[in-house]
Amino acid sequence: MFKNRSLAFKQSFYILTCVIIIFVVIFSFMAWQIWQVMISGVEVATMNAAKASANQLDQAFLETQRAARQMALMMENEDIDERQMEILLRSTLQSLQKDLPSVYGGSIAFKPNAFNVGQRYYMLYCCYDSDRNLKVMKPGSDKYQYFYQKWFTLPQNLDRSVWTEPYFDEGCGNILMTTYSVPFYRKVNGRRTFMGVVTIDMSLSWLRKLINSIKLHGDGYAFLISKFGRIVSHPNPSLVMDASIFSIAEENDDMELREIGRRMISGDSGYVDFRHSEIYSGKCLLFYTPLRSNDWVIGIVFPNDFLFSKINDIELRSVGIAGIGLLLLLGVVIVVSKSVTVPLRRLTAATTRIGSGNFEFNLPKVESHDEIGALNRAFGSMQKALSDYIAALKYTTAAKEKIESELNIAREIQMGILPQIRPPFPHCSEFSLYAELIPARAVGGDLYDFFFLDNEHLCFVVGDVSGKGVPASLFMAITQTLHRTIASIDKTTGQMASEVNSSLARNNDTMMFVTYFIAVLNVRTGEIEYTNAGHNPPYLVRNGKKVEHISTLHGPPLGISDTQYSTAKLKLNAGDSILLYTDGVTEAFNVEQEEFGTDKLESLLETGVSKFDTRNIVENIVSAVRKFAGSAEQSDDITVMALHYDGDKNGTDK
Amino acid sequence: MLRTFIALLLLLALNSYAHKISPENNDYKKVSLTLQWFPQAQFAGYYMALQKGFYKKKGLIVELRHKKPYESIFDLLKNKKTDFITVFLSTAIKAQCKGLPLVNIGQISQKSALVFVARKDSGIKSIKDMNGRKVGIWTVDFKVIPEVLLMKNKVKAKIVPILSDADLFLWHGVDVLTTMWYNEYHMILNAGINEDELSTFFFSDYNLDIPEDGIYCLKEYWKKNPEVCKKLLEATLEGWHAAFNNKKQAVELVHKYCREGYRPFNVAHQRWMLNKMEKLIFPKKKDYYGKLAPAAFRKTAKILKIMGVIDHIPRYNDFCKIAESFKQER
Repeated sequence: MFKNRSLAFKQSFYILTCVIIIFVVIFSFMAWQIWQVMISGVEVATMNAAKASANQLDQAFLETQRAARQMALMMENEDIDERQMEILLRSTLQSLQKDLPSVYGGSIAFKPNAFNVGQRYYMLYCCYDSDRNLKVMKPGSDKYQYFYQKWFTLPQNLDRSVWTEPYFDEGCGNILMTTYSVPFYRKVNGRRTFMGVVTIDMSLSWLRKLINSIKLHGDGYAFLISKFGRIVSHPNPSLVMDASIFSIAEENDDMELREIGRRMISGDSGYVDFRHSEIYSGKCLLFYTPLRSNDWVIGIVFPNDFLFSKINDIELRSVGIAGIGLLLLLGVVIVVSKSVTVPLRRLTAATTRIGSGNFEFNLPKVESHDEIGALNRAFGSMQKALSDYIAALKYTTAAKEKIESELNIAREIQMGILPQIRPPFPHCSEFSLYAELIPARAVGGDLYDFFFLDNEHLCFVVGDVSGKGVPASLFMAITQTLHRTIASIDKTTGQMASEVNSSLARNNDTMMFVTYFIAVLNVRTGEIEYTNAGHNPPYLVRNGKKVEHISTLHGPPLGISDTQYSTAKLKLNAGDSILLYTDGVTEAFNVEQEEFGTDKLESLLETGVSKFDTRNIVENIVSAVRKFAGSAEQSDDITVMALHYDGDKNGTDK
Repeated sequence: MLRTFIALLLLLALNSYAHKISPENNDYKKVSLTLQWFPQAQFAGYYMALQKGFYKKKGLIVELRHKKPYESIFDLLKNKKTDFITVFLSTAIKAQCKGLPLVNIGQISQKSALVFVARKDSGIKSIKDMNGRKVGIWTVDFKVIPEVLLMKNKVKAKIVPILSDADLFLWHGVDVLTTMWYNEYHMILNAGINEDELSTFFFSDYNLDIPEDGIYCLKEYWKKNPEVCKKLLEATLEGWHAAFNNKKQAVELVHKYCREGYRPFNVAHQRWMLNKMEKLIFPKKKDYYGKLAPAAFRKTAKILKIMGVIDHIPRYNDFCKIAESFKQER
């Protein structure tokens, strides 16, 4: 993915990516944790606020209940008369009013005919007018059949006290109120019989003020619902009384809100997490707790936005810190990477220079003992080793060059030992002779020679020293010198070979030897005397006839043991030729490791037979061998000598 | 769709007709109509007819009133405080038999909206289960119908007289409550009780599907003003069509009347009521719209006689004075 990017970039990228992932995971976890902690904090605080308000409301409700119950108890007394009832009602309301200004009125209401037989309506009603004076009324009439009112029928049928659902009272005050209604009983014919109810009315405006005064964060608010879900207090006045939490749910087709409402009126405290357009436009937490006195429920809407804004604040700061941390980390990573890559780059540049041959170029200094330091030191050692090697190589090369030049001199000397006149003996018409020696190395171990012993006798020699190179060349030089010294007309070739042999064999600690063919030709008669000491048998080519071997062998090569060599003879007729060679010819190899062999040599000879020209034949053989060997290295010295006998034209005439 | 189409046809028909008989200038007939209960969607058709000018188009200037809780609607009629009233059929039959010379000049509701409601967890799964249980039944005249249902099933329940709301049921003061499908039934739902938590007994399922709201006037008034009676019914039905065709507007209109009458208003409740009224006024399988079916009349009267509410069954033709020329189509 980042093949072409630098090490520092890759390192920074991967490390930072990992760190960012770790940060994100940590942040999410932390945000969740903080959310949990905040919710539990908010839960405690909000529930406390809700419960405190509930207690405050309960106090008022319970105080009212106590007073109403007391009044009901008094009403169980059959002797209480109308005047006393009025005093009871007035004093109860007045004493309540001191602490609870919301107490609005109260009543004592009898069921039909219970107060007086034949009197359908008896209801004593007492309430505060706008001037805060208590006025007493008896509103019961055909137009106001109070005993059908809920505040009457509910305690009557339920046989217990009730707080009515909030209602709009048309009878007296024309205000929103709730009534606490206590049934009272008297003994009729010995049976406890329901006689009527005692009520105390409470205006709901104070209650709504109290609920609205609960201070909450953001646009959170508190509301109050009745036992059956009716909205009693809500910041939206249009919802109060007309709507219930269930009707809002129905209007908005919101089953979730309906379920929440059911939970709220179930009598438990708790909270739910939800979103609703009528209750609250955004996501919010809704806390709820019931009043003990009348099962109404206080709900507190706590907007999530507020919590989120806190969390966002924390997260923003955390992200800021993380950002700075990441930048620092980026810096550190870059510095660390550079501490690795910069020396590496310098080292790379230095090695490039060294690689191009500048062995003296100084490597960058690295002080550290870490891997980079170790690498640098290793490069240093390598540089030194290379430099030493090159120096040694130079020295060796110089030495080799010296040896080579000496060898060249040796070669020239060696070649100088060989007969240099070509064509030799141009004044001799009896024969022609041509020889060629090509050493495999600078100097070789082959030898050839020809010289006249007297006017008529030509001595010619071909030899091949065992081994190659300088030792062979020295041995060759000795041999050449020896037979020149020893050769004499008075000696047979066998004697000459024996003498050379004994000289060579003496002090021959290196156990070198030389194959040797020596012959003496009487140029007038064509007679040849010869001795072959372990040399390849030369070819004799009779004029126009088949090529044949001179296969007589007179002993082992010279220099091995003290041997006496014998002498053989043959006679050349005019037109006959002799070809001498060393094994450098027949044992020449090409790249396929094939041998040149005798067959090729013989066929060359046969083609040259008809008009035997010594120079041509020698050069043909040499070039054929070279051609055959091709690019293969020459493994042995090559020597070819050809002699063609034309006969003694003058002598025959003599 | 069909309903809308028919309503439009009817509108057109009525329109052209109205133009023909439309009185010139100030030749309007002033009439007063007293509705039997507080403002609510039960009367949305009347509100709509007034609002849309359907009455005026017929040459009527209608004054709509709602009966006060302390008033007797029959007294209002008898004392000529009002020209027309709306009451339930059974109530009207009883009143006529008791000597009030009233006549039915239009039958708005064709079906019974009465439902017995009980909590399932109270163990009441059938009418028989109501034996010995507290059954809340209204104190008003038509309490006989619920009583008939109990009697027919040989149920002896403790009858608890109640007023119009569901509070006593909600407070567990009664095990069974008589409700109007369009009203108290929904009040119970609106107090957080789910429908699947309730056992319901629709009277219409127990061969007690008797019509309810109808328009009545004194016989002598009808004799003098048969055309007025007919126009009032026609305009009222037109009003109902308009209300069902534009429920949003109808509910808004109900809201207005509630506000004027200092009554709590709740969109969900009034919408529910309007939807149920549609099923009562224009039921799918009825031949009669706006007109009292003789069979339904006889059935109701018979029940009343059996229950001892009335001593004789009045003649249909004496009771129902809906003009023959009244078009029944929807």
